[in-house]
Amino acid sequence: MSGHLKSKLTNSKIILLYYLIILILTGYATYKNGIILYQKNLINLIGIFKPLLLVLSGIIITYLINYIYINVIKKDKYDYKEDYTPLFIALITLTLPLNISFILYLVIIILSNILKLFYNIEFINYYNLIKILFILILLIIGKYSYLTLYDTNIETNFSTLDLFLGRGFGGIATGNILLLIICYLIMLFNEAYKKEIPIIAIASYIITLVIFDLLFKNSVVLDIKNLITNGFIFGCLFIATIPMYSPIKYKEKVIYSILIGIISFVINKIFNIYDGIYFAIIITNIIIIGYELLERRIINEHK
Amino acid sequence: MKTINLLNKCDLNVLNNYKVILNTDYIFIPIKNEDKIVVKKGDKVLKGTLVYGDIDKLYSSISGIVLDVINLNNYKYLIIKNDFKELTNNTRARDLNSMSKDDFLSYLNNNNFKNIINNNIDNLYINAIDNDPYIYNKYMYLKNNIKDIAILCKYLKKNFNIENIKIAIKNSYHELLGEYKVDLKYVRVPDIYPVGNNDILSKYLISSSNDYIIELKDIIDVLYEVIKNKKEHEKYITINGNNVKNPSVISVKKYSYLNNILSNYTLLDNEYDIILNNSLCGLVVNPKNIIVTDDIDGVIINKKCKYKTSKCSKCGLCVNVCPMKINPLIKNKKCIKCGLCNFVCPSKINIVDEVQR
Repeated sequence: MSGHLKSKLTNSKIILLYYLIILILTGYATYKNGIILYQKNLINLIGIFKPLLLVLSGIIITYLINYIYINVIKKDKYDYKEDYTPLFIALITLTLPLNISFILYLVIIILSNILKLFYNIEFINYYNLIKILFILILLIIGKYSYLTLYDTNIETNFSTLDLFLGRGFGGIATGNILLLIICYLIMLFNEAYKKEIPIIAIASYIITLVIFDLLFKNSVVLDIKNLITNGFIFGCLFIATIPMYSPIKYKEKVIYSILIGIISFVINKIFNIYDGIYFAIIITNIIIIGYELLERRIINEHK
Repeated sequence: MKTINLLNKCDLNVLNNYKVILNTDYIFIPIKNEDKIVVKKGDKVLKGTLVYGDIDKLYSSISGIVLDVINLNNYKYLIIKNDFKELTNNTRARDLNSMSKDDFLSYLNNNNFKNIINNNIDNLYINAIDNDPYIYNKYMYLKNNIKDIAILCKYLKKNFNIENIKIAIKNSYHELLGEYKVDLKYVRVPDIYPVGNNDILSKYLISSSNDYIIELKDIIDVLYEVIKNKKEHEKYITINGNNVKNPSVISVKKYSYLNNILSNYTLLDNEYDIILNNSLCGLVVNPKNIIVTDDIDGVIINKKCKYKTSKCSKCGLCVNVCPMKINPLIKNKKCIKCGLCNFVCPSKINIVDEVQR
C-alpha cells in the first residue's frame, strides 16, 4: 500500500473493540442465564455455558463459511481480521432467547451465512433480517418466549431498578441496562461508531412514549419498564448502528434514529411485539432508501 | 468545520532545517510547443533569459548553454547546461521609500495581488501556513524574507489605506520564528489540518466583506517584481517523510531534476514511496520522471504503509471529517483534495484517487 499518511485506526481495531463488548456481554449472559440457573438446580453443568457456546459457534461457523467461500471457491485470500460478519452474527446471537434449540440456531446461522455470500443485500440490514427470521421461525414453531426456566418457575415482581440491573427476562444479554451503558461508553473509543444513533433513537422513543401515555392516560412507569426489558436499547446500541446498513450523513442519521424510536414504540405498543426495534430498523431502512432516492432525484432535477 | 491535529495523531516533528542545493548540472524547462522556444541549440543564455514565450513565459534559472529538447515521460523539456557562472543581466533593486503608488502598480504582475489591492481593505491576512503537515516552505520563506516583508507591509498600509496587515501563522511557527519576528503583526492559528487552505482559513479569520486573505507566495512575488526587480530563479521545496534521515527545506534552482536533488538525502528503508505535495493524498511518483517546477512544494518520502486496503465499511468517518461538508464517496467539484478522508478511513481506501480525481 502507498506511503500516504494514515490514521492508526483500522477495521481490525474496531472489530477488536466490538469483541471486547461481546466478551463482557457473554460473561454477563453466562452468569445470569448459566450460573444462577445452575445454582437453583434448573440446568446441568454444561447448561452454564450455553450462551458462550451459542456465541462461539456462531462466530466459528461464520468464519469457516467465509474462509471456505473465499479461499477455496473464489481462490482469493480471506482476511479474517477485517471481517465484520462473525462479529455481528455474535451480536444477533446475544439478542436471542436462551431457550432456543442449539440445532435450530446452527441451521439458521449456516443458511443465513450461505445466503449472504450469494445475495449481497446492500441497503437493508442483513443481520437484522437474520434476527427477524429467528423471530418468525420461533413464532411458527411456538417457541417464541424470552422466559428462562428461572423466570417460568419463580414468580417475580421486579422493580424498575431490578430491571435496570438486568434481573428481568429478555434476550441472552439484552437486559442489563447498566452494562449496556458501560458498553456504550466503551464504544465511544471507536471513532467509527455512530454514537448519535442510539441517543437520538432512545430519546425519540421516550418522547413518543410520554406523549402517547399523556394522551391516552397510560402509566409512563410501566412503559419505561417495558422499554428497559424489551431489547430496544440493545438493538439501538449495536444493531441499528451496524455501519454497513446505517446512514453516514448527519441529517440522515437523525431522521433514521427518530424514525426507529417512533416506529419501535408503535410496534411494541400497538402490536404488543417484544422485538419491535428489529422491525422498526427494516421499515426505517426502506424509508431512508426512499428518502435518498428522492434527494438524488431533486438534485438531478436542479442540475 | 472539521479539522484534525495531525501533528498529535502522527508524531510528526516540526522541521527547522534549511539547506541550499543550487549546484545542478542541467535544468529541464518544460515545453508544450517547440515553436515557442526563443533560443537555439548552442546559444549561451544568462540567468533570467527568456527561453520560452507562450502564454506562460519561462526564463532560464541558470547561466549556461542550450543543449536540446528531450522527451521525458511523455513531456518535452529544453535542456540547458549549467556553466556555474551565475551570469545575469544586472538589474537594480528599487527603493520602496521613494516609490509612488502608481509606480508600484505599474511594476506589479501578480494577478492575485492586483485583484485584492484595488479593493477597500480593512484587514489583509497573509496566509503563511503550509497546507501539509510535512511541508515547511512558507515558514522558511517567511523566516528568510521577514525584513523585506515588513517593509512591504508598511508601504502597503501607508499607500493603500489598509488598516491592518497580519500574517497568519501556525502556533508551532510562532515558537520557531523567535528572533525573526520583527515589527509585524501575527495571528496565530492552531496546528490543525487543512487550515492552510484559503477557504478553510477564511472561516477562521474573515469577519467582514472588507477582509481579504492573500498567499505568502503572492507577497514574495511582489517583493521580486517590485523591489528586487528580478525573476525568482530559486524555489523552496521540503524534502521530508518518515523514510528520510535528514529532512529539510531546500532552496533549489527551478527546473532541476528531482532525482539529482534526492541523491543528497539518506533514506532509511528500501521500501518507500515518493509523494508529491500532499502527504495524505498526493501523487505517488518516480523521481526519475520529475522536474522541479512551480507546482512542486514538497517531496514526501514515506515508508510503504503496512496496512491493507479492504472493502468500505460505510462507517462514515470520511463524511464526518470532510472540511467542505461533502460526501467524499460521491464525486463533487467542491472537493479541495485535502486527503482527510484518506487519512481517517479505517479500510485504508485512497478515496481521493478512487472517487474525486
